[in-house]
Amino acid sequence: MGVRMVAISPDTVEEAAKMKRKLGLGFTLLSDPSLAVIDLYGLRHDKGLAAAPGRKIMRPLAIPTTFVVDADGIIRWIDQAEDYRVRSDAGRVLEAVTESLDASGHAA
Amino acid sequence: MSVMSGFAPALTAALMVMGAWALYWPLIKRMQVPLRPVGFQAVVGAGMIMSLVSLLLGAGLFGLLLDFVALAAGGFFLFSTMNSRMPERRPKVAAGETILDFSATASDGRSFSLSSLHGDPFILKFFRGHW
Repeated sequence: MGVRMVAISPDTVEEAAKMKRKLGLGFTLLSDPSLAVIDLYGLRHDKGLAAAPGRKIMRPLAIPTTFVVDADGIIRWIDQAEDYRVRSDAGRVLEAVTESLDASGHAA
Repeated sequence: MSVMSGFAPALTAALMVMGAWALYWPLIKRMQVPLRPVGFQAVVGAGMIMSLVSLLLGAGLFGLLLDFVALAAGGFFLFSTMNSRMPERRPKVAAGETILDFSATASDGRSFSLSSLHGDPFILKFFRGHW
């Protein structure tokens, strides 16, 4: 499927680069340490339980959220985590991508 | 009552807590943890109560060590599984609306603008990162 993926987190550019290398991620990894984009979308989690070495235990993080967007920039599907221990199910996301983009008349 | 009468509950407590961890850990690796791990929490909580009882009864040096393991590992389990709920916060944009454009620095140090994806479908994922 010709669907690009962009991921954004409060990580610094260095942390994002390190994670991309370590996990061999092929998609664009963006860094938002000031939480400007996260606030633009209203997705700040104020007292996020953090576990990174050298960081505070509680610090603002993003609420894990997935947006599926079509070629016209219209949001087709949103999935938000209820609990950060529970990950989005890859199959469910893929299904949503196929269905929502097909329904919008674009080749997914 | 012997001085060591707390040893058996200490051993049971450590087995309960570590057993719960041993079953839970592979679920993390397989990304299959339950949304509400109440069964795990009940076993861990019961184990921690048992280790407190064991401390009251006197468990001996090795028993004390087992109690410490049960309380530390159990406390960590309960704390982390009870603090992982996300606040309910609706994103500022809903399905059917236009995605909000923004610019941010990519991991290669270059500036990235979301509008550069115009004309192609994409997935935008907010995540917690390295915490």
